[in-house]
Amino acid sequence: MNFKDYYMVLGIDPQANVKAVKAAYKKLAVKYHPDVSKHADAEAKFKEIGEAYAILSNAKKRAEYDEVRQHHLNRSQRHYAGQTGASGGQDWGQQESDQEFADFFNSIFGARHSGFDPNQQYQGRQTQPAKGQDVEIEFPMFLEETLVDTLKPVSFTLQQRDAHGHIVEHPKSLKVNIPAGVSNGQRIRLKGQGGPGQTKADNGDLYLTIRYAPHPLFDVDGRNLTIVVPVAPWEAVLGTKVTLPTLTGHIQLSIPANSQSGQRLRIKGKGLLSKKEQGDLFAVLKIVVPTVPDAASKPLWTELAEKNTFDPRASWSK
Amino acid sequence: MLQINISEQDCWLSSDELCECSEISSALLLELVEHSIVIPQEGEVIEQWQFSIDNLHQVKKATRIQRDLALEWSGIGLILQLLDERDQLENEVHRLKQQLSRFKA
Repeated sequence: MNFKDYYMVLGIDPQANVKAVKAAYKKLAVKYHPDVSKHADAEAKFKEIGEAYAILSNAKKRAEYDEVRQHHLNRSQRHYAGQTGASGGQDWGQQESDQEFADFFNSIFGARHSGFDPNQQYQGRQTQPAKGQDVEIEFPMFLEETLVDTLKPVSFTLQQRDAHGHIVEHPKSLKVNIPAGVSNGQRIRLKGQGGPGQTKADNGDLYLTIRYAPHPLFDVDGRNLTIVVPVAPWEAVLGTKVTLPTLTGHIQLSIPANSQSGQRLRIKGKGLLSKKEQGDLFAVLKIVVPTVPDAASKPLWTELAEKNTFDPRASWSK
Repeated sequence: MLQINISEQDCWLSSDELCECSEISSALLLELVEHSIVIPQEGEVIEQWQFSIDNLHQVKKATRIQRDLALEWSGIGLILQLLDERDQLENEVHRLKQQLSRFKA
């Protein structure tokens, strides 16, 4: 275990009083709390802050820590001096100091129930319950799968401690019949499918959080879907019928004459399913101009430009 | 391989089940409901209340924040509400960006 300077972790002076320690902890805890923060390393950072606070807010632990820290600083200085005097010096001081720190850390938190095990999921400072560990996993689903009851395999790994306190991984696989109409972010509880409980205690539960997989054509807005439909300028002006993909097949969509880019056409009941009803599909028109010059079309465009009095920027001159 | 069918019943928790799963007392549950940190989906009185699994997640989150940051429940209610609004806005921004990228493609 590497030595950690808890004063640096909390960003405070080693002479800081208890009030300053608490204030620094609160400020950083709010910033990095895993339930609040969006920082990528929030969980690890919060654990480190928790360690620092647990030691520096307790006078006895802090005094012990200060001794170890001072020892570490003295060793580091001597090591640095040795290195500058004669190159190639070994890092004995660092190793010894780290061992002392590990001993100190374990004497405070205990080797088994540190609460700050980096391999453990965030559990804060809660004591280990007799009930088995709850497991939460993200569960990706394709939009199409949410329209009907779908039998899906679920695989995850349970982490347990053996009789010697070592973490042992147990892979587990189930098949779950996911009911139609599940929504993005919805949680499903599988009672008793988490970690095994101690002796007669209940097993933990397994929680699946449904996550819709991104779709190549459709965007999700609640129960509604949106699809962008490219149309040629003449299709937008004259109106047309297009074959539109839906989650369950294809339909014919009538695009009215004089449609505008960005216009939304509603197709009722072709969205996602919920317990109460089925959402709608919205087709958003996007007028697309040919990118490759077409010699045959150019005279027609020119004629149109000459004969048509339409001014798309008329509102600017008002 | 074990096969599990999810029934309607699996999606709901009684007050007792919610308290057991989140390791809180019924007195604390009443306090959380009073501060609108969690709102029963069904039922008039505590014995009849029904909670969703999302409610359970919300209770666990609230109790973790209370334990780690030592805030009052009214403050936690406000934090959770703002976090919820932040998530909704982020989802909305993501959706609009996605749609814009489709429009520009």
